[in-house]
This record gives sequence, C-alpha cells and structure tokens, in this order.
Amino acid sequence: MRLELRCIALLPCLLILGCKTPPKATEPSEPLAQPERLRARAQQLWQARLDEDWSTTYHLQEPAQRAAISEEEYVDWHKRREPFKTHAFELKRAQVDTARNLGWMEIHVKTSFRLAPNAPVQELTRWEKWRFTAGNWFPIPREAIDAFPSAPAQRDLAAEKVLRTRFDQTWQARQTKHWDDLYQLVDPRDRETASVEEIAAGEELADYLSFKLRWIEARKDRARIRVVYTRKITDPSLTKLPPEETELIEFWVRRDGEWYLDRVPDQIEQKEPAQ
Amino acid sequence: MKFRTLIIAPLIVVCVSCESPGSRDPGAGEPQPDSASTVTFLLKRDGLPLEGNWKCDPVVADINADGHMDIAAHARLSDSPRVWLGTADGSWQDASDGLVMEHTPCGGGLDFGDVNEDSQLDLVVADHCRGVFVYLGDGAGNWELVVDGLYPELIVPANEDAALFTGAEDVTLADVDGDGHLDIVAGGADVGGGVSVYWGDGTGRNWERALLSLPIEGVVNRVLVAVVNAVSVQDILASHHPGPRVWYGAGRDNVTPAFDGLPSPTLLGLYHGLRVADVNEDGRPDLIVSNWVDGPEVYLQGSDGKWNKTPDVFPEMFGGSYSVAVADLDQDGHLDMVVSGRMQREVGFVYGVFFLRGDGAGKWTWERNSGLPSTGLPFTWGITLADVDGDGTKDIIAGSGGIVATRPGEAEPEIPAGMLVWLTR
Repeated sequence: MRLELRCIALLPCLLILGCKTPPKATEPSEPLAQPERLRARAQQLWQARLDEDWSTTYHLQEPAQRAAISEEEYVDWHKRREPFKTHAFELKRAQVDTARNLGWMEIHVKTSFRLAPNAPVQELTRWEKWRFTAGNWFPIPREAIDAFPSAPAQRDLAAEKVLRTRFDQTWQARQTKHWDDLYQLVDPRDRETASVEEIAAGEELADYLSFKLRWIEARKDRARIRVVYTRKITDPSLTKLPPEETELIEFWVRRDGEWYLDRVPDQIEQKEPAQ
Repeated sequence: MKFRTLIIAPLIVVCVSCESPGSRDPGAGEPQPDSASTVTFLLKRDGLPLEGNWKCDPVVADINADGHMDIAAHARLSDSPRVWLGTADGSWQDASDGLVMEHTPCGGGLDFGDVNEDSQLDLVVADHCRGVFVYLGDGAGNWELVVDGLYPELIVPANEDAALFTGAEDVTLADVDGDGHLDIVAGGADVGGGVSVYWGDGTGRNWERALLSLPIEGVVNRVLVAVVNAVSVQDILASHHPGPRVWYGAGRDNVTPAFDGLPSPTLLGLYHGLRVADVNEDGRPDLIVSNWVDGPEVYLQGSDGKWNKTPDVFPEMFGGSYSVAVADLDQDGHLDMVVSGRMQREVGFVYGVFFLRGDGAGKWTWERNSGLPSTGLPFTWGITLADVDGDGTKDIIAGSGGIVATRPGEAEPEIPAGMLVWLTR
C-alpha cells in the first residue's frame, strides 16, 4: 500500500487546480443573472458591511460557504475579528458573462484597518468577482478568486482573440505530438533552458485526448488561460489507469507582439497590475 | 527519472488515491464462464486468528519435525510475530513463546532458517518500524530473541534522522556468499532503506553488514534471493522503489545490476509481491511481480539475460495487485498463479484472492469459480503457497486484515479476515 509520493508535495501545485471538474453551474435564468440583479446584490452586501450587519453578509455568502460555518459562528467571528472597517462605498460598473455565470462589480470604497486605528482611511477602486449559482449572485469566495478571470473591462479582449488561436495551436500540437510545433509556441526565455527533447519528454508521459478552454484573461503582456483537458498516462506500467480530467491555468506572455506559452512564469513579471 | 516522476505525479495522486468513478463490473461485456474450475479451494483455518492486520507474505516450514507444516506471520499493531504449529487434525496451535517485541509491531516480511546451525529452524522478522529481529528456535515452538532491531546504521548520514533507516519491510535468509552460513537480506521500509545484506557467522547473533553495491535509499517492498542466471551464484532481487530489480551475485565480491527490460515507472513504489520461477518452461527463471495499478506482471528472462514483459497476465483486474505466488496447483505440470488484489479501484472490503491457471507458455486464465473470494476481504498483504495438509498439492496461505476505508453498510468484511488458509482440492 506504500505508494511513495513524497515528491509531490514539492510540485508547482499552483498550476494544478484539481483533477475533478467542478460541477457545471446552472444555466442563468433570465433576468436574474443580469447586471441589474448583480448590482442589487452587491448593494445589499456592501450596505451590510457598512452597517456591520454580519447576519446579512452571512446570508449573502454562497450556500457552500454557509454550510461550512453557522450563522452564529460567522457573526461572532466578524464582530471580534473583522479586519476591515468600511466607511463608505460607491458601486460603479457591473459586468456579467452569462455564458459562464460570472459577474464583476466595480466598487469604490473607503476602508481602514481595525488593528491600526491611527492609520489613514484608504480609498480604492476594485473589481469584485461574483458568480451566479443556486439562482442568485454570490461573491466568489476569497480562496477561489484566482480561479476566475478578471473583469472584461480590465482585460484586452482583442488580444484574447489572438491568444485563443495560439492556445489552440499548443493543444493541437500536444494531441498530434508535434513537439517542434509546440516548442515554437513556448516562451523563448523558457526555450533557453529547455530543449525540445526535454519538453517532449514531459509531454509524452500522457496522451491528450481532449481539451476545452474555460476562459482567457489577457492583461497587458500577460495572460492566463484556464483549460480542462483529458489525458491518459502512457507509462507502460500504468496502462489500467483510466483517462483523467484535469483543470489547469496556463500562463502566457507576449513578447514582441507575439503570445507564447510561459511554462515557467517569472515570479516578478507575473505580478498582477494594481487594480 | 526524477523529472518524469514529478511531471506525472499529480495525476497519479488522484488516480491511485481516489475511488474510481463509475466502477465497472469485473469482466463486464465479456462472457461469464460458468465452467467448473480445474481446482477449488476450501477455507480452513481452525486455530488461526480471525482478526489482526497480517502485513506479510506468511512463511511455512515444519519447525518441530512432526510432519505437519507450520506457519509464521507478522502483524501490524497487535501481538506479533506469531507462529502456529500444524496438527494432525488440520488445525493450528499457537507456538509463539518468546516472540516478543518491546514496541508495537508494525508488520513486515519474515523467513525461517537455521541461522545458528543447531538443526532447529529459527525465525527472522522484518519490522516496518524497527528493523530486523532474529529469534532462535528450539524446535518445539519456543523462541529466544537474540537480535533486536538490526538496521544499516552505518549508512545513516550524520545529519539525518536515523528513524528513516531503522525500518525493514521484508527479509529473507540465504547463503549469499557461499560460506556455509545463512546471511540476511533485508529491504528498507523508508527513504533511507535500500537493500542490505548482513553476513552471518553461524551463531545467529552476529551480523556484519556487507559492502555491496546495492541501493541504500528507497523502500524495498520485497526481497528475494535466487539463482537467476547460470553463471552467478545467489542473486538478489527486490521490489525496489523505482521498480523490480535484479542484481547478479558474486559472493562477497559485489553484485552486478541486471535491470535490462525491467520497468522504471513514473510512480515510485508501484511494485510489491515478487517471485522467481520458470513460467514458460524454457529453463530460465522469470520474474513475477505485483503491480499496484496494472495487476500481476510477468517478465520472461531471455537468453541474453534481458527481461521481456509478457502481455497482460490478468486483463480482468483493474484495481491492482499487491502480492503474488506461483506453483502448480492444478497439477497439470505448469505453474499457476495466486494473486491478492482488487478488481476495481474502489474502497472498502473489496479485496480478493485470485487463482490464475497457467499453460506453461505464458498464458494465464482466471478461474472465477475456484472458491476464492474475488471481493469482500480487507486489504490482503501477502500470499504464500505451501502444502499444509500434506496431500501433495500446495495450498494458499494469506496475510490479510489490512485496514480499509469503509462506506456505510460495509463495516465488516464478508470473511472475518486475519490469517487465511485455503486448501487446494
């Protein structure tokens, strides 16, 4: 029973979001998923934050979030430990992607840090990510935020169309095992440290049976693409492992006007621009 | 190797540790033969424990020379190791006086042999947590502990935790150097394990670690000593972390790797049960090894010493096998195979024991109606074949009782399973 997998703990797990595809969201039922509805829900949430009405904010969390903690515990925690105080807010633009049940709410907020009562009140404008589930809009939990794209208003939608073509080319190269083609789509900086043979050696560990793009997020010269794919391990000692569906966020970089698959993202360059 | 392992690991984690979705019916879509098996097996284990977590391939020998075979096994987390004497009525009687461990036993392989050359069989035990133990036997079922927790302490780096080196997963006795005294070959139980050979001096009390070019790292799930090729003396075989491995022996001089054709899968620790036998009757010993994903595998030894994997031995098995043993159970002149494992990658009491009839040409047929359970057992660690009822045909002795995850309604195995014996009929 001793399957030694200690090395796995060292994996760059940030790239792997999990091997199970999340359940498909319900289809938005018009007009509930429209921006007006999102705006109304955001207004409720932020007014409750302003009022420190934690019972209301609790009921505006996703059902799964509420299932993990009772209302009493949630309210008690926020009363004692809520780190931020909201002084004022103003809702600005609301955007929705009905195909993906995603929404974004731009908000201007004045806030301060409770643990530093003498610190000045901060003013900032940011986009909050929301999703439509269980018949209503809910803010996406903090731990899941990175798994969803930024607001369309923040993204370079024209670049995303170009990038889509490059993305398809990489996955077609994987499926047809045309490693030279794939290699040319890899960031030139990564190519300086990895030969086509080395990249092929990693890719050939599996047959890529299918792939499906979840979303693209291009911002300036950086992009993220979330893809769900099915692969079958080719190891001759593991022939009876069934194909597995995996979700992954790829990183891409634009150099001299061309998009490349960023296999080893530079940590500094990868930083998101301030919102 | 390391690179490949890292790449593949995330998928394997899911595939191996999780229950498979939509498990298939064993043999679904195939004709379900209802023909009678060439042999049948009858569960008979009077006097053997119905519980316990017997983590080993049990060993069998007639320690008291009464003509009835006796059994030894080592368990996890219970009073262990244990020896049971066979009796004339086919039942078993505990004969474990002196088989003590000061700490909680962790299970592991074991072997009988006369290490102090007094004409009485002694017992060596590999304990997963504490290394190798040597108990001298008096031929009447009484034992004296003379070696407590042997491990390769000389290879422990100064800044390393010795606990990573102390455990032994398996052990076997053989005269590796040909000096007339039995030696110990042990497989490590942790990252600092590897294969260790200890030279014996015929007293059973003194063991000197050999300086051979064997691996000093990685878990070794099984070790064997056998003459694999015609030119070497005793050779050493192991289910080592990277895969099944063979080293040609040359006495005390050194060992020579003979891995050509053996797998190095991307998943470490995939291989467990290991046997050597000439399954295709060409005069060359072959390897039979349990793959915890693909099931049992056979590697035929070519005339050039290269190992050649045969087609899928047990295509109906999708849950992997953990132990394997071979013998001619149906007495047709060809070796057969007994495998422990599970048909699907499911959790619970889903483990079974399977009889595969061999044709002497490398083809194996699962006999579904042999009387062995194809499911319903807890995790079954090990299989040994020996003639325990004296009828001239080898029987099945299994170490079972491994802890399994259970689901509602499946809190108990179908067969209360500790030590299991099936008589061949």
